[in-house]
Amino acid sequence: MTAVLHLDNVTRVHGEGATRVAALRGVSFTARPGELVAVMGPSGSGKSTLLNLAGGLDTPTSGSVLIEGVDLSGLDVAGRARVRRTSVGYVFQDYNLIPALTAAENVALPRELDGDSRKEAREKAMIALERVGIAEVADRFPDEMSGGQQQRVAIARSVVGERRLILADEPTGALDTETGEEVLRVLRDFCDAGAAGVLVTHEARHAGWADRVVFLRDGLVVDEAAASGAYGDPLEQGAL
Amino acid sequence: MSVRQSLLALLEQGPMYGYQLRAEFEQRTGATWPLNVGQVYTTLSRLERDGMVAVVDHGGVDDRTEADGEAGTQSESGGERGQVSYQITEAGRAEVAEWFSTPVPRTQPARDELAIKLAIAVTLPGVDIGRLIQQQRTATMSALQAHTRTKRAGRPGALVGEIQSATEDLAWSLVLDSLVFDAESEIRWLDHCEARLRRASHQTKTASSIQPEESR
Amino acid sequence: MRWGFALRIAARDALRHKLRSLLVLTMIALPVLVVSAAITLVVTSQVSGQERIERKMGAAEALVWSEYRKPVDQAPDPFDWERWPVGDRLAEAPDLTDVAAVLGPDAHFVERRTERVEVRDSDKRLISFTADEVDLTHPITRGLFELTQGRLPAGAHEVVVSEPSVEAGFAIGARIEIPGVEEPAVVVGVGNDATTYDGLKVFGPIGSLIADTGPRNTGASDEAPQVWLVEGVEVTWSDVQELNERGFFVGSRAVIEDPPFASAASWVQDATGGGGDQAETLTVVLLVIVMALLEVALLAGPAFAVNARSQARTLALVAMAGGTPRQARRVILAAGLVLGTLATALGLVLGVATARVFQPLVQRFNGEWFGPFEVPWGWLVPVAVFGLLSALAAAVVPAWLASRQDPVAVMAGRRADAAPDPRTPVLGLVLLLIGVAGAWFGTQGDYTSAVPVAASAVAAMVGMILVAPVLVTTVARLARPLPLPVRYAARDASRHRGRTVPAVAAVAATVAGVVAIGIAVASDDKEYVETYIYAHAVGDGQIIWSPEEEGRDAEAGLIALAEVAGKAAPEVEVTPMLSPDLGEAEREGDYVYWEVDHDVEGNDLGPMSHGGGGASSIGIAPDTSHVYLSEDVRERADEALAAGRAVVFTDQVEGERDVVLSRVVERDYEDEVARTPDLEVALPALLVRTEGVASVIAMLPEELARDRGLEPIVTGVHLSGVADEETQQLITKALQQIDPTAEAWIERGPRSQEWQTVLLVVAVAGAVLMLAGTLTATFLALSDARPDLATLSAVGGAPRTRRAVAGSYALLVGATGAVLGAAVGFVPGLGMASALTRGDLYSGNSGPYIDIPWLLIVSIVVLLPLLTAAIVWVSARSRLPLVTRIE
Ligand SMILES: Nc1ncnc2c1ncn2[C@@H]1O[C@H](COP(=O)(O)OP(=O)(O)OP(=O)(O)O)[C@@H](O)[C@H]1O
Ligand SMILES: [Mg+2]
Repeated sequence: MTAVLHLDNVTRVHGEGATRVAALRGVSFTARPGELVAVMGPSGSGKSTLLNLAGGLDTPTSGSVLIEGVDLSGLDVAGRARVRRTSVGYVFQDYNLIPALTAAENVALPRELDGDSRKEAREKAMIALERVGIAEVADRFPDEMSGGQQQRVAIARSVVGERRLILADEPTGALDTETGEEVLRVLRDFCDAGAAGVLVTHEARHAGWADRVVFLRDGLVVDEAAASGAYGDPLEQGAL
Repeated sequence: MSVRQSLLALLEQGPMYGYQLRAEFEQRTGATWPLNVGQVYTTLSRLERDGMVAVVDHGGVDDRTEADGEAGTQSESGGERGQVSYQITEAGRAEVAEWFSTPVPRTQPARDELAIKLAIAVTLPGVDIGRLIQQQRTATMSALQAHTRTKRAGRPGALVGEIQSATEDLAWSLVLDSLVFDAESEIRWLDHCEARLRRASHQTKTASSIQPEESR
Repeated sequence: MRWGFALRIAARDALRHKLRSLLVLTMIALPVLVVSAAITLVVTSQVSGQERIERKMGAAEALVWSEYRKPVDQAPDPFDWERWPVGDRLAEAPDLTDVAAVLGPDAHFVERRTERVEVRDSDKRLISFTADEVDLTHPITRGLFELTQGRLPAGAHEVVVSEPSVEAGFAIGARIEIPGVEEPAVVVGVGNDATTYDGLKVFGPIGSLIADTGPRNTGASDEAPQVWLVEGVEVTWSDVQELNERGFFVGSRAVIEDPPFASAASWVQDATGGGGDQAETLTVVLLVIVMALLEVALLAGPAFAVNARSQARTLALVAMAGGTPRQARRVILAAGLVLGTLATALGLVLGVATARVFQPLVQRFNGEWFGPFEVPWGWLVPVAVFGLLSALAAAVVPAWLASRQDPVAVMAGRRADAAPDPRTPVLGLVLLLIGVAGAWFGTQGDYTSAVPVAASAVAAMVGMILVAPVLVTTVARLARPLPLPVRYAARDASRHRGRTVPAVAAVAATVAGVVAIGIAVASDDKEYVETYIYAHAVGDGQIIWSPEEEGRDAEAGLIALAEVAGKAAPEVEVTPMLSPDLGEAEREGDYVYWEVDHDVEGNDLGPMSHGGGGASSIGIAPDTSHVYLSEDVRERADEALAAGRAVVFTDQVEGERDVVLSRVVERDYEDEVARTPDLEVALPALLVRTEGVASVIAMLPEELARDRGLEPIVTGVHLSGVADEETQQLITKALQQIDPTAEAWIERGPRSQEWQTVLLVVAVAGAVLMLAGTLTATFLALSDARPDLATLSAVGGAPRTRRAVAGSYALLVGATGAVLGAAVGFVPGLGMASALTRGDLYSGNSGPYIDIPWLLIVSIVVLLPLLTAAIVWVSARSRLPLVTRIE
């Protein structure tokens, strides 16, 4: 299958001279439909940078970023914005939602920005909210929702309008284990339904939900772990 | 070993056959630690020897599972172990109560092999520790992913006994969680090792570049 | 164009931050309120054509009158001077039969005459009122007068009066004796005149109030002295035109109510051929509007800037969700739209309400009855647009800056603003220079041109805003050696220019306004002081009065007054002043005065220094001790007088000459004034230059006057040494025992007391506004800086330090803004000053007078920032605030 997201030999350098930091150094990275890829690595290893490049919020110093086959470097600011509202969804650690908008309005935002009428956008938003299982909070404002609900709304927003790439930067960071797990399950479900997901996380436990785990260190991919294909006897995998 | 206490605890529910005990155990632990039948009977005979359980005669399999009130007499066909069911004694109950009320001792380090491997590797020249750690981490990660998948896929036998499955599912997933947390903690420990080693190597470099000046 | 989500966010955000919203609302609603209230009052006070019909003609179909010209031309509504006597003068009024011929046999006419009449009451006090002769019992006059007391006149000499007349002594039963009317008029009723609110007016039948003195033809006021009310026929536009041909003006009810032209304005355009200098007026009005817009926008700006910053994460999320910068911008602009609309609506409603409430109060200051309460939508809509525009303008820059922010940085919590574009300050400097140059050019040349001055003020203002960021950065750099709180505040201010610059600009805008007004007012005051003409030395003065008789007949009364004055205040030196008698030449209707404007050879002596013009403009005295002169002039003048010469005070020529003293009779004809010298005498004279301070134009020794046949008579009484106001009042009191019109007038020098009260009010209001603006901007900026200040506390900064930082921040914003504003304020200030003090045709080219109120400026620049800093320092809470970084 063709990749939804493809980073080809991407380098990103911040600053100049003494303050020069190479956040990414020649990273290649792919996410395919139906696949959840976890990105792990110590602080400052370039995880967020990678995600921002993938979302077209940042531009690589060299190399290219392709989303559904479209090279982002060929697009202007408005063009990249269009890609974000039609192809890419973002989820952050916290403060994901616009406080002045209700859950449904937050989810509908990308659609409204794309030109849907308010009604159309709301219909699509309600579908997305149902899929994450919290249609009942649709008309609540963010400060009337729990953290887990907020994150699920954020995920709903990232997929609304059949977008096929979800970028999540530590989406469970501010949640307890249980709630975090629920959020991951929702994310996983969307990937199983055909979306591609990139999950940046510090916690190995959460990376466990991914099909592949990419380890970053100092802006380089050092390692990749993939779950073995079959649901084999766990003991054979070397635990205990 | 906790198999002994686990079987005893299961017998508290009522008299059971050996194979039945094995099934009950695996239901709860999600086939994470499979027991072979031999192991079960060895354990049971030891328990019998210690007066923790008593052998009861067999009436009907279905009756046995219901209550312990009608404890039958010992089986006529004595040699056949498979036909024999076991009942917990007062001493056995006391043992179970004791087991549940004392914490599992943390006397023995659980990961000695990996720890030892790393400890030795660190002291020996010529071993690529970074690589070692990475390989280990990748392996552990894969295991973790597998556990997560298993958990997501659900308990294999869950459909069989649907009425009881809620609590048993819970028991099963708690066991899986323990594996997940184990794997995670191992990865974190590996991360920590890596960070320590990196810092150490930095210091060595710095130290060696300063030393010559100091020695003069 | 999808504004839906932006408006939703803006509206809900406005609700969430009520205080900030209220602030913006006030800033924008207040000017809208003031302007719309003022416009509503003005329009209400104006009486439109339709409203005026009843006031002018009661129930009549038309009003016809002649101004002794034929033919004439007029607008459909001939009142308010919309009429032109184009033809030749007539000796007699055109015959009313002409009118009857045009209007047909059904037309009936009712005469109405008005005249200003003066009578004296029993105290000999002068009472002047408008006499209105019309038959009020005739149904056609319904609406001209509303009776409130008594009854309407029935007899030939019964009259009714307006309410204010009662206070003047015309109560019911009073008898009014009018010179020239045989029988006194008896007041039988009181009521309200349809037009005037506070005037003294007396209505009576024809012949009861106005002495018949021939044809009534002065036509000097908008009220024609003799008109006919027409009833019985409808007067059409063609009738009007025909009557115009025959020398009559016509105000026709039918024509005014349904004018034959689309609009009166277009008719005026047609008639006058369009306005020539309308373009310039328009430009000035536009510039003033732009200026006001800028000022309002600058004051509301900080609130939007803080709004934009607190919305930073929202905007980042919009960007993440695929919003383009333009869509992000809309979120902030929508705030301007929402608040602007609300503020404008509020301002309009409150403005109209205020106008309604204040209508009775304002009516008291206005002589004419207001029309019915009117809401002038045609004017209010542009005002509303203005309010909305200023709100949008205030939101534009913050919106633009916000749309440029890096969403990644915002989401990562990095809040420093992007480095300023190096081109902006350069552009700002260029604009500032253009402003200064424009103001300078504008004040050059013969008259101050408003367009370049106003334009340069706008340019300077915009330039100022563009320069502000660099200034803030520079200040941060300069603050390096200062103590920690100041250094921290400076660094913080420069890092967060997004909030600092609007605050600085707001302070600068108010300071610039105050400085500009200060310079203008101070310069105006300087002009007043420097061009002040002393009539006497300070503490000296004279008795002024309005005698019934003039010349020699008044002499006895004046001498009596002098005696009384001397008795009332023995320490005051009272000297009767002599002047040559104007004699019989002083006749009713003519204006007679002395003039010295050429010598015997006919050479022009140039303009004379100021003098009374009347009889007393020539003094007859042995010396100049009672004339205000500079000492060296006085010495020479006294010598000349002692030597038997006249002394003539001029502006230009000096030296000894023989001059001609002429007695000029000025007779007012209809449209020209005839000046004829009827007596000329030659005098040996000394001409001295006095630069406009002598109260007489010439002085003569008594012998010389008598020798030339000029009889000295007492025409004035000089008072000398009236030290204080009490003495002055004592004398006045004593004088008024004899003649209520008399009064002691004493020179006190240039003391513009009333003006100074106004100035004080303006200054206090300006200071309050300035302080409020500065504090608002500073507090808004500080509220935005709270997370940073909280961090400061978290790392162990003592409460004292926090306060000091907040205070320093206020000081910084205030000082930078004040310095910038003071500098920029010079541009419009000097422009206005030179326009105000350039002098005019009459006072000559004396200006411009420029006075820069350094004390005011320095105290603003020094005190304002210190005051705000102190207030912030005191009110900054020292306890650690619970700060949520977002919302
Ligand atoms: N705008 C920037 N300017 C300068 N350096 C930057 C900038 N953004 C990121 N960096 C640097 O790039 C490197 C990678 O940053 P990045 O945010 O991608 O790390 P990360 O893996 O997400 O870390 P964390 O786990 O702490 O979120 C870091 O060293 C960071 O300091
Ligand atoms: Mg990160």
